[in-house]
Amino acid sequence: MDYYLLVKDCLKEKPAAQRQLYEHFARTMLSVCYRYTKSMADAEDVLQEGFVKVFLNLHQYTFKGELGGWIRRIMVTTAINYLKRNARYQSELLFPDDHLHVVSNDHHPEIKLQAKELADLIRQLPPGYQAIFNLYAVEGFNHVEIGKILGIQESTSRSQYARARALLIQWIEQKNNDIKKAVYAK
Amino acid sequence: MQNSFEKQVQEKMDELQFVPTEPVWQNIEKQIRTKKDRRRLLLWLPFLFLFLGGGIWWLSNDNNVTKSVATIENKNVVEKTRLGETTSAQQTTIEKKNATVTSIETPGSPSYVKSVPVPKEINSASLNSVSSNEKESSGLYKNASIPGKLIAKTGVGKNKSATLQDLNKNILDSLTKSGDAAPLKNSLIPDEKTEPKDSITSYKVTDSKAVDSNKLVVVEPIKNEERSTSKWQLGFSATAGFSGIAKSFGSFSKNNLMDAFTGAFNSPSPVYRPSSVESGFSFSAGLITKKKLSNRTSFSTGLQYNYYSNIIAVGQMRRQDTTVYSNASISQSVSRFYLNSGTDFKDYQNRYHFIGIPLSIDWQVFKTIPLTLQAGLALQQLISTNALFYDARTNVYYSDKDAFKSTQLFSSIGLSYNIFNRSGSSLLLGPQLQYAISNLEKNGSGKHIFSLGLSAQFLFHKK
Repeated sequence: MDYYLLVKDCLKEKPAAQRQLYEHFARTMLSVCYRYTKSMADAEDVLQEGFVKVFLNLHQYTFKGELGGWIRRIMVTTAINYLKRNARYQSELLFPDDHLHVVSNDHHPEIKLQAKELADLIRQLPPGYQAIFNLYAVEGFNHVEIGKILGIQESTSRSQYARARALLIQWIEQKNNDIKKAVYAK
Repeated sequence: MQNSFEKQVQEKMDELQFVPTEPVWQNIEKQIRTKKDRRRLLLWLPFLFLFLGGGIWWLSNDNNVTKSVATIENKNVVEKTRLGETTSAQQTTIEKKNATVTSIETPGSPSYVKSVPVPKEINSASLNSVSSNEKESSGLYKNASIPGKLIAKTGVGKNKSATLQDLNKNILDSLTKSGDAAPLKNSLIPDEKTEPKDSITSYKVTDSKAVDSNKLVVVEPIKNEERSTSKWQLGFSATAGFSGIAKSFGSFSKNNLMDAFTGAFNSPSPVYRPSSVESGFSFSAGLITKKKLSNRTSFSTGLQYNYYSNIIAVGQMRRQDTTVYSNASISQSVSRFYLNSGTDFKDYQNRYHFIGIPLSIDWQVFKTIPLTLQAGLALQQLISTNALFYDARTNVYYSDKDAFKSTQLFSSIGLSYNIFNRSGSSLLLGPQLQYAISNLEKNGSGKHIFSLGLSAQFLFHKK
């Protein structure tokens, strides 16, 4: 797909081009939004808000870097803002500055789960853990950047991530065991 | 940073895809149309102000030319002079239906109507005498048949001598008796020596004292210099504040969150993050000229020097030939550039010097409070800059005036309060926001200069 022409046509406000751009990225972007929220309805709200931003700010995209990456950045920003703004997430999006002793746990299981199953596990994490885990493990931010994005200290991000990771590994192991049992049962 | 667990999670998450429901796109489509319309409206607002202001000015001018006749509605005159109460049947002719009492035409020049308090006892006397003249088929009487107007002329003919001049003389006679004549004497009777006989005469009342129901309406003479509501007023203007770069309309934050994300995602080509832009000092100074369009509206223009600056963080300076790209296709060689990497970062001040012509419409919000809302546009020409241009491909900053658009259109909005007003001179102070409608850079990066500051205007006494 020629993104250059597509973007230029979108800037000319051609409805067909706008629809095409949306169709091309909507599925992937909805999965990004899904990972940050607790329901599909919320994920669609974020997707909608994010795409509105994409179309209104498309003139800022200067073809430096991938278009998909640029849209994804907007989706992540929108999702984080949505969590901060939304009362349902706000109360649980607290990051106490408890600098707990972070155990370096290099042990981790092999993930035998399907993508959606893993995403659902991530979504079961408390919103604060969920956001930090997504930003660090999936999006690839470092803790300094996460600190800036969420307005927390780097050490807080580090400790919260460690907790989230430990919790997730525990759940994945449980799921892996369930899978094993199911296989043996067969 | 990441071990195999994170890599596994990333891979799994890359596989994840969901199909959104149809209403999502419908809502997106609806919102982008509405928001774009709203943005356009905001951008056109200054033009709208200018257009409206121009319209008001044009209309007020047009009224001055065409409204050369001061017309007093029959109803008012009848009520105010209370003709019905005191005069005889002769006066009822004047009261009739559409017949109005005074209207003096002076083609090409506007006239004004003023009310003069007249003691009750003189009303009947003066009007009686007018009526008696009218009986002699005077011009006044004749013209009274013109619906809504009555035209008085002097020196047209002996038989057509029933004029307002006579009316005024009668009034004066009566006033002399009542002792109120002095203020009116000079104003009601035109100077026969200076007024040409054939000219159309109008009248002026300079004293209007207390207004009560017993008023007689008199017409003010028209002087050409009074016709225009005001002259151009000269003065100085200056603004001081801060300026920065906005990435789109309405986003003036110094650190755009989107910048923080740049480069964080896995991308086949390296994506570098440019420095965040901090606000810098800005000021402007110039000459201003202002013209009043109506009681509460004025137009101003002038010539202004504008200085804007902002601060970025850059790495070490290097003196060596290198190829840089001002956009995807245009490359050039530069011999001096700043790195955007390493640890030795220093602040660098981007400075922009502009000369511009501001156009503004000022509107006084309240009748009694001298608070003015100002909206306008300014065409500004970049005369010099040391600003650095960022090249993401090579991750360096370099200086190139040609990378910036030299002609910029700014919109401005502000409030000003008249804090000093003595003998015609005035000093206005208030906040002002300027926003460049044009892109700063030629590559269409969507960067716009903005400034926010305190504006001062000193206007000299009109001569």
